[in-house]
Amino acid sequence: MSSGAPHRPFTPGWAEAFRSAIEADASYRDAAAKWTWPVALVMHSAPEFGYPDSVAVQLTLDRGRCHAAEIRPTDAVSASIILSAPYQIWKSVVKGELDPLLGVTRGSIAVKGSLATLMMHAKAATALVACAKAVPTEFPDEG
Amino acid sequence: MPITAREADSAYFRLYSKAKQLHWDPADIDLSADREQWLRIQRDYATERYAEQILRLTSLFYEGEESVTKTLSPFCSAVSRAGLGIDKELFLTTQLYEEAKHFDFFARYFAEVFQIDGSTTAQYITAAPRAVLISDLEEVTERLRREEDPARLKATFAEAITHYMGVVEAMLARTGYVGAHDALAARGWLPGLQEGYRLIKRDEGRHVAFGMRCIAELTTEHPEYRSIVQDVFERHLPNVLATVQEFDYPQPLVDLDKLTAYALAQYERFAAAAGLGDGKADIEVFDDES
Repeated sequence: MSSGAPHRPFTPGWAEAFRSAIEADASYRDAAAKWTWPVALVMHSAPEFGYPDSVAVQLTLDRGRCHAAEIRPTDAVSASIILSAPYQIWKSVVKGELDPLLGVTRGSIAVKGSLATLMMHAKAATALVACAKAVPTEFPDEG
Repeated sequence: MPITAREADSAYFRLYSKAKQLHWDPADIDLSADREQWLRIQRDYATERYAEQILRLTSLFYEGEESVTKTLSPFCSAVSRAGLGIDKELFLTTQLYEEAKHFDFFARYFAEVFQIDGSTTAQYITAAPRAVLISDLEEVTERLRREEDPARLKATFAEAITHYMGVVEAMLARTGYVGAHDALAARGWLPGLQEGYRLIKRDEGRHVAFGMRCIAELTTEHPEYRSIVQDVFERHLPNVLATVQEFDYPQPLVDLDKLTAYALAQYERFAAAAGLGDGKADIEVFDDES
């Protein structure tokens, strides 16, 4: 578990903590040895939780490394694979309650980009999102 | 053309020999207990809609087996025209016979147990399964049948193998048979249908092993074919996932998450055989399972 103050998800502080968690995770480094595509996680707008607009975390990933994790407005996302979902779905994923690939297959998480590439590297995708569990996160709908 | 020593000792020839050893006849499967159980399932589980789910699942198999029976012969001819080896042709003759038996089994099951006309199955074939199981499979095998240019013939063969053995048989058929068999076995229902599923799944294992070996061979010789393999999966993964999700009933008969995970594992293995992704090809595992 990363130390430090908790951050609200999909904020700059949270994105940087996520990047650090990815960089520190040996399992991810092994699983993603062949992963070379940037990924963006998009959360739909949720004004009731303080997200008036949809927001993205774009991750610059390359062979087990995460070189950058930036918060971007959705119209500035340039990743080749974009995963989009509402707040509650991302919350379940970040908490480790929902396997992100099952989220994709059930249609809870929409994919823009190569579904074949994502599924071909299923272990890398799962390991990536598992790193989010190590990020101290303050969910705005939990007192 | 004589069989060379290399061909007689090939993995394809061993798969052909195994098919001969593991012969079974759909007419021999005992369906005597199934009719009465089927009536009971319809009567006792109306709220759960289990009968509807079994019928939907079996209709997909019926339609799918009919489609793969009709679309396999261009593969035999393409192997011959491309000079890919008599061992592959021999195996494909066993596969053609087996696909016909699978279709025969479901036709018998509909007639004797469900006691409904097989033509009613079409109502369960929505757009996603229709594309992957029927229309697009017909389209690629028709191109395979007509292709005369030797280089394009091989590339089309790689595309057709990926669609037929990689998507339809590995991801949909084997996944469906595993899920359906497990669901019925756990409840002790329809022993004749269970036995049919078990035997068909065993055959499909050989077919998938054949496809994986072919695609490994073709993409090793022509690495540029890997993009063909990826394109086929790109086009049909959404159709496969949508087909699985059609069984997302309020009280599902099959474990959908387990089924999805199994389908994706099949995809990873097939893609790995083509030199794509992170997975292990495990071709021998399919040889052993069949």
